[in-house]
Amino acid sequence: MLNKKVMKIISSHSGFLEKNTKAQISDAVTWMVATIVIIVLLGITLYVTSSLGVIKDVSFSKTISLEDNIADKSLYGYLLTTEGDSNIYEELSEKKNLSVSNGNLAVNIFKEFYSEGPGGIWFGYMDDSNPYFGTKSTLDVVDVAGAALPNFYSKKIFLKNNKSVELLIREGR
Amino acid sequence: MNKKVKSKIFHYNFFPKNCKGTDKIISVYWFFVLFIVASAVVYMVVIFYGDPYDVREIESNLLLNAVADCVSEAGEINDLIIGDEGVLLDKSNFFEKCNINFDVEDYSGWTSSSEYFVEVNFLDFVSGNPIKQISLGNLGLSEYCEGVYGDSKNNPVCVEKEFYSLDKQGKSYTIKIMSGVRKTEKNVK
Repeated sequence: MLNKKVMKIISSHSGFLEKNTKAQISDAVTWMVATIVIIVLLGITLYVTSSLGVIKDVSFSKTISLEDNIADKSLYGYLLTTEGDSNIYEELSEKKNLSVSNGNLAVNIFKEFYSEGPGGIWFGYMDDSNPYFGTKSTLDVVDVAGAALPNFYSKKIFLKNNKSVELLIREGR
Repeated sequence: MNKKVKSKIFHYNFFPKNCKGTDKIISVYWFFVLFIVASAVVYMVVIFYGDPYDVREIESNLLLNAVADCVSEAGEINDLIIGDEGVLLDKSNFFEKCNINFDVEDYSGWTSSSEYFVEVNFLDFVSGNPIKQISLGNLGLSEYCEGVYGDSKNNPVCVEKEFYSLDKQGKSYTIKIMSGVRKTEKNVK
């Protein structure tokens, strides 16, 4: 047991349990660094948010989109067009490729209406090449900068005798 | 001041550290950090959601598709639209035949003049000659659609598409549809 005198000395002497100044400086530096880190992180998130906020693109292509019912209408109209005794649907079901008349009509419709932009357009019979649209593989899939073209319309119509025609439209945005 | 007094004042124990005081300072610091973080979060939400989404192009496309579906279905022009007498669709029966209306909410004077514009052109596919043109809605928007007033985000958004279709007799048509939506007040900040 400490006696009263010793207790008085201990309690009166303010420096008896003195703080270590070095420890306090270390604490302060920690807080300052933490504050700077917090502010920097907030700055980064603010920058990212403001950048993302600008990109509120909810629009879609003005000319063609994945499920473009306008291109569908043209394709159906084309296949229903009568040439002689039968329509193009019947004609393509019987023949092996596009003829001069239906090939030129396809060019007049599809190239005239939907070939905007750098993408390209292909219409053909059973994936075969034809003199009006070339080969399917030549259809551009990348733009001049090498980026993949995002908008891509594809419609395959099955004809009689397990045959088919396909319309592909790619558009750069 | 003599040396003795000076040494007492500048002694490191003259302003003794108080543990309770340190806790208060840390609390204030935490409130400060909390305030900064909360402010930043609020600011991020404001800048991200502050600007409205401009959906006029989508709306314009939807309107155009609705009109296209009304005019032609599966490659053939509807009987209600074209008959033996020619194109039956006109300004007076457009809304009834196409089951479309241009109603808008009562906001910023929208009800006084239409916020929509639609123009349908029937052309002969072979010759390219115009057969009939129908314009509806706010005709003042057509000049913006034609680009008379340049390109600005405050301008109405217009979409124009064309397709090939046939009538029942097999005659081919080019149908050009242009649609425009104004609604600037709700879509542009």
